[in-house]
Amino acid sequence: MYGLDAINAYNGWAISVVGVTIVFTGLVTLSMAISQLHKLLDLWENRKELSLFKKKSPATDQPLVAFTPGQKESSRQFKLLAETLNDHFSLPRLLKLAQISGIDHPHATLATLLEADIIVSDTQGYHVLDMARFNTLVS
Amino acid sequence: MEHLFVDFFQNTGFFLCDYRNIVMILVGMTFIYLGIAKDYEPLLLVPIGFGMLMGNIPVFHGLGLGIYEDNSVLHYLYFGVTQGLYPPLIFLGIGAMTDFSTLLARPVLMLLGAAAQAGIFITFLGALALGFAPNEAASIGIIGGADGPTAIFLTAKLAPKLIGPIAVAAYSYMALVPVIQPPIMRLLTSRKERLIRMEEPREVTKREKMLFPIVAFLLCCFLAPAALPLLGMLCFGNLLKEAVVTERLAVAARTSIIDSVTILLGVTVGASTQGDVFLTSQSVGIFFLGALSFCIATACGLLFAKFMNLFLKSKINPLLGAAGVSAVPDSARVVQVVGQQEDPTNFLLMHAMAPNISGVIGSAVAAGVLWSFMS
Amino acid sequence: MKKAINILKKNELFTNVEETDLEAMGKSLETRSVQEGEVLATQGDTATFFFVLEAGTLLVALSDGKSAVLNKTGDFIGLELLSSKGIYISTVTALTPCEIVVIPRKSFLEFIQNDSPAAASFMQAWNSYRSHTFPFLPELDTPDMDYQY
Repeated sequence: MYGLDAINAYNGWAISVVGVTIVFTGLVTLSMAISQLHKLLDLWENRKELSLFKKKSPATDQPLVAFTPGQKESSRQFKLLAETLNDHFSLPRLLKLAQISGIDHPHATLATLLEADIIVSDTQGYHVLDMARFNTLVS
Repeated sequence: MEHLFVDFFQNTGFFLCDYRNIVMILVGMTFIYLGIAKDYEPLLLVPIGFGMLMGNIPVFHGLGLGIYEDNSVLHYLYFGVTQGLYPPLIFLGIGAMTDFSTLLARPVLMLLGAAAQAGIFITFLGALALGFAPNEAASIGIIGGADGPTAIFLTAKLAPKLIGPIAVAAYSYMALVPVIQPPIMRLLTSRKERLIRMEEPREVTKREKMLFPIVAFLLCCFLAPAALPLLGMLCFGNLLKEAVVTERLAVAARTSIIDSVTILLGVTVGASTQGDVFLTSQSVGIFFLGALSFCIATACGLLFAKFMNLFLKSKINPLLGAAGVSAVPDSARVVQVVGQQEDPTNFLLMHAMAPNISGVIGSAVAAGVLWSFMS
Repeated sequence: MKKAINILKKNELFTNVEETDLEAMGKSLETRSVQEGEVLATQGDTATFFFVLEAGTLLVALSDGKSAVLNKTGDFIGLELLSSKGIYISTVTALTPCEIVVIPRKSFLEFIQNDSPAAASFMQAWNSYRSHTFPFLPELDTPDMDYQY
């Protein structure tokens, strides 16, 4: 027997419809049950639930960057070196020049200039010198 | 002395060989090639491919060498397939290696796994229409579940003589998921839909993960008790994994146990494809219907995801529907790859694992339902 | 190792990663103190470690003179920011004394090639982090993954 006759004879339509329905019912029930699972657990662990809604503490203010006289001198030399490069300069290149030039603590000075936002990223992998900020904090 | 040589020659594979053995040996070598050179499911295709070589060495019947001879070693190993022992053990390992957290984080994605199972029942109708008996049609339909152990389990129960072609078809199509699914996915979705980004899933607690296998097992098996051997072992394996204190058992289940069983299952299923038994018009029909079943299941998942989007505020990427066919984790990876072809920064893999895993549960339930209807 | 894991757990990239996964990354997961000017990785060398910053400032120098400065606790220096095909593609220098967590590159790659949601979640978070922090980096490759069973 072939075709629709075979399907009808073996009750194929009913088996398929009931089969799909059972599979769907099973997974829908399971999905509803597990979607509530975490809520039940939250209720069970009441203290955890309370902590869940606690607001995060606001971010702490940025620490103020203060330059020592020595750092100021090194920063001024960094500025001179940066001016020999393009406006958007390479930080590793600037560091290399600072090392070659014998500036004191080139790494730490560069870190301080970065922390003070005097040297800032241009988001393209290069950096720029913020002259206004340099004048305010260093000069 | 001469007749000794003649007797010996008449017992060699060269004398007993049949063109069907050669065809199957070539198929086996193709499987091994695909597994090793193309990296298509090597853990399955290499054992099955080598099993095909073993099963198609022409042997003199009566010596107790062939897999279908009662007293042969291969026959004893094949016992695990024919009696449905191996699939639940594989499910134990799958449970012990699967993380259900994406499913727990967004349970609605489970419906995609359910939708894809429609392919099983549509193919069941197709197989009936082509003249297969209902028990055979059910075994063929389950290929669309894209779950090798489930297909073997159901076939062992309903149509044991079809285990060879059905297992080979199921594993072949599972291996070909990266080839079969993408065209259907592109055909049924627009670029705009493929670009949809999924919401970040919520964090799932350890307790939820521990409770899930118990809840899932009880709910599904009360509804479809025939799914007990597969779902029971799947959920038990997962409980071993999540319970932490049973880590040693979980490690055994997901490493040595599943690996040993995969070897035995792969080799014996491969060996069961003896040319004279395997190469029949029925097998061709099974391969054709298996492919159809797989395609329909993929399409059902995709279309159901689009249907869900009509009602959901936070849209889901319909590509996820394709992962509902189970084939863990290949179909989820295909979703990731197709999604990234449109937007390389869109990571769909973890979201696709949800319908993927629910597909495993869905196909096990579908197998249980079909078994109970047919027995 | 416990201290190193605790530091990683505070990082949003590693939030969803199970402690067992972190432990599996290798027993050599450890914290290390580095001095100002010390070089952690040199471009062209064999890549053996990734780094997570606990405290201090690091300069990551890429090709073409490009660079990234990392100074937030939990900043991750790894994947395509640091290496390609087993070779360091950037040089990492400590600008200040730093505390860092050192992760063996091989075991970390094994972790992200898992199919666990934790690994996928990490990749999602990393992708978002890298596109936000290093918009100039080349596109991310999909990591090769092996079939599980």
